[in-house]
Amino acid sequence: MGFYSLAKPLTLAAAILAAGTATALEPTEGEVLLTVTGEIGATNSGQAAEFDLPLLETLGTVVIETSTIWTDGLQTFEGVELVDLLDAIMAEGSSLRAIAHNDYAVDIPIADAIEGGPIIAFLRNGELMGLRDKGPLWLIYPFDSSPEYQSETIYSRSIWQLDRIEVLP
Amino acid sequence: MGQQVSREIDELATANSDNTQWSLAQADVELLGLVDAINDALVTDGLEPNPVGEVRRRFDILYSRFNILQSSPLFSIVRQDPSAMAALSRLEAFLEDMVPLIDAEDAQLRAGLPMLSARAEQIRADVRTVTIQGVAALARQSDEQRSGVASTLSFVSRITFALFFFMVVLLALLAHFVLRERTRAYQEGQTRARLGTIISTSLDAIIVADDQGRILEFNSAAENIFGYAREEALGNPMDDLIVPDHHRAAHADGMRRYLSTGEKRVIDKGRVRLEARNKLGRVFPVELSISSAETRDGEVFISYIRDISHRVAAERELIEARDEAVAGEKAKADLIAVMSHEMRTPLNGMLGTLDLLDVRDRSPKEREYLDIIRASGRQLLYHVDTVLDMSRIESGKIALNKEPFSLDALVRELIESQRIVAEHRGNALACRVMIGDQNTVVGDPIRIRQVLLNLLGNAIKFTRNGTILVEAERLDGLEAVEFRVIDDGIGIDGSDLERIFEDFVTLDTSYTRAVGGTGLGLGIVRRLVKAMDGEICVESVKGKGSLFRVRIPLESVTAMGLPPSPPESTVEYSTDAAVVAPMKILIVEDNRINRIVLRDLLEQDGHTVDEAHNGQQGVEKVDKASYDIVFMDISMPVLDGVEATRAIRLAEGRGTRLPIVALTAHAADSDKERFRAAGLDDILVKPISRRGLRSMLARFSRGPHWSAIATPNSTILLDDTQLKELNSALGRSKFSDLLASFCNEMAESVEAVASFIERGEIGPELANEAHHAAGSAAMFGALALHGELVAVEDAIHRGVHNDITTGSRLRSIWSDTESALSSIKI
Repeated sequence: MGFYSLAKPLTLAAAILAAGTATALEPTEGEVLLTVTGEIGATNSGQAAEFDLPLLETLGTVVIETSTIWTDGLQTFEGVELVDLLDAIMAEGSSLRAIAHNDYAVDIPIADAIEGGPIIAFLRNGELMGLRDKGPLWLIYPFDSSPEYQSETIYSRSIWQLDRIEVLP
Repeated sequence: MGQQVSREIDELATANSDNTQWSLAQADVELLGLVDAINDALVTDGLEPNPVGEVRRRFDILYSRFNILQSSPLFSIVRQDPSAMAALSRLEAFLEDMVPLIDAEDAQLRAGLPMLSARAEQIRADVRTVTIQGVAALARQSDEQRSGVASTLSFVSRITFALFFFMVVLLALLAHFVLRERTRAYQEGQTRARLGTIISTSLDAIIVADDQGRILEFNSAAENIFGYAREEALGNPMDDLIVPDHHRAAHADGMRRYLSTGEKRVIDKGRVRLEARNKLGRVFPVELSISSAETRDGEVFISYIRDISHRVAAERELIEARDEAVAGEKAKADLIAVMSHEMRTPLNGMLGTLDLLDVRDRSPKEREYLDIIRASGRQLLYHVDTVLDMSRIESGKIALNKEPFSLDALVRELIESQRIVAEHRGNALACRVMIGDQNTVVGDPIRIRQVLLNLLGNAIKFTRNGTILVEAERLDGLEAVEFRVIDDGIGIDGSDLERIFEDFVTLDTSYTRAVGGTGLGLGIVRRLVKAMDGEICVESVKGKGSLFRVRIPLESVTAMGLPPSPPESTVEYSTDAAVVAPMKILIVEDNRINRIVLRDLLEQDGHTVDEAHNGQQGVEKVDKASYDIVFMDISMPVLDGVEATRAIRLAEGRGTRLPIVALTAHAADSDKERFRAAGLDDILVKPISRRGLRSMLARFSRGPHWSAIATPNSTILLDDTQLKELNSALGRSKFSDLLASFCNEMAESVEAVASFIERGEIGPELANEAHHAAGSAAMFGALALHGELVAVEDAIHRGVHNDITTGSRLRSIWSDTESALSSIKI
């Protein structure tokens, strides 16, 4: 399992700039993969923050190697750490409601978003994930790194086909 | 086990599934979502800008769900179910079939919607099957898992219980050990305290030292005895502190020897007496015992030391006291011996002089006084003799003779000797001798007589107007004779019976004074009887009389296989003695009074007396003149009696022997032997009495050793005493037989001798005949006849011619003697 930062300093800089204007988030150009609403300080589409793949990539990505209970064998996931995403949108809530394309919804405490914690993955084994492969976004916890991530609660929060997030106060 | 439990715990802690049933059921929901989207697209055909987009999305979601069912390990249990697997295959076929349509252009998709709808409806039953079978399979798995967990838990609980039980047992054991340890510690503490108390309160010094001799323990008794404080002593070498300088080398050697060879000389050898030194340097005797013990720090030596200065001093005092006592006893014995001599000598003079006084010339008053003086003198002499006897027996100087004697004669003579005394007090004497044919026995007649005389004397003393019986009886089957002295006198109180044999015991002082006595008589009796291996006992009833019983082992002569020898005539006690023919006598005596007494006594009987004042003078006189007999005092200055006698015997020629008689105040048996060896023929015990002197002279005048001048007109025909003795020794019938044959033989002998003389046939035949007849006459106490016959024989030996009248004189003497014999009443 490994972590490595790609563009974190840039993301931080952007986040700091955005803090002042409240609309510092870049507008999206491609297909919107994730929409974040609720108690957030940075938006790029009305009250929401929308992310396409390039915008997500600007937040810096990390790679997690882990097995999951739904897949066979060790998997490599790459994506944005949840904490980075929430920082980027200046989220101010206590929990998140994540909702999937298949209308699955689950509440995730903000406290879960820590460094070395869950990521919003868009690459699995180096490939983008389609809707048929639980993509395009899958919230992945580093299950193998700690027994604490091997509980049914964590499994239920590991939402695939992630579509949108509401930051709850 | 631990691994299994931890695995179980791991499996529970890390969920390997999310809500599987929900995921399964989602397949149904998502298929319905697709069908719904298709129907919507069909209804809103053409109105919506892109109505098939939602169809695609729903298809993809369903597809995604299928992927999960197909590949996720979560559903492997579902996939094992054949019907579910078949249904899944059909679902896969449906999805794969539809993918080209879904991925086609919108128009194509739209055209294919009815077909898609129809296929979706078809597949619904399969999805349902997967869901239902899957739920069932998952439920089974869940059950199995649960029961697995349950059994694991119950196993764990059993293990836990076992562990708990084990722990309880361990705890109990631990508690037990703790308790035991505590008890032991307590006991050890107690023991140590007790030991400490013992050591500190011990009266003996206790010193513990290590193998280097350094002191490890020093108790309070040791502090007292040696004067060192405990702190002073601890750690210091023992030999510096308490071993005296002159023992130090030996002590060091002993320690070295023990440590190198293990040889123990003092250690574990019990009490040893040594010397020790205290702090002040005083050396004192101690009793010591050392033992060794092994300890953690090596061998230690425990010494118990007792100061025995006092004991040693006491022992020394005791020894000194004993030495003093022994010396005192010896001084007493010496004093008594000297005293007896010193007292007896003047007494002899007194009593002898009394004998010289011719009472016929005295007035009755004076005679009475003289009798009193004589009686007192004899009483005093008796007391002195008693004390002497006592001291002699006490000092072990008593020696017992072993000679044959007649029991019967002894008893009868005893009775006779006391008859007058007894009659004086109105007492009748009787005796009974029951000894069968064993009359002659071997023993010490003098001592037995002394014992019986003492008992008889007592009986007479304490009986008045009564009867006293003396009995002798040989006990059946025993080589012992029992003597009994029985009286009907005043008797002895029961409480005094044991006491009477003690020395100086007189029961009733007033009475004793009346009868006289030293209180030593029975003490002497007891000692004599004991010396003869006999025993004495007494039975008495106060007021009725007493019985003294003496048992003495006496072998009979017949039992010893010896011929009975004729009883010796007891010179001292013969009642009468004839006056023998005048003799020339030498007295060797240093004491003037004794000389006077002796000379006068002898001269009154017609003898010629010469004197010598010591042994040397005696020897010279014998050398110059010839004597018929010599009376020789024993203890004299210049040359004593024994030496003088020896000198005389040396000078004597062969074939001649001058009779020498010892004069002595007392003669122990050992003395008698000494006297005989020196050449003394007999002993005359002082005080000299006329009777004793006459008996002695009669004995030697009768002897064949020297010539006796026959007394022609010897008036004494018969010696009654001799006849009485013969009678008692032989028995009445035997005596009469013998007397008869004597008379016959003597008549013939006298006739033969007379004829020889008258015919002038003077030769050996006559001498033989006369000698033989003289022996027989002496035996029957025919003194006159004996004297005449001896004179005849002697004349022949000397070659002197016998007077012709001798024959007729012999006949006349024999005739008188014969008539005297026939008239005698035995």
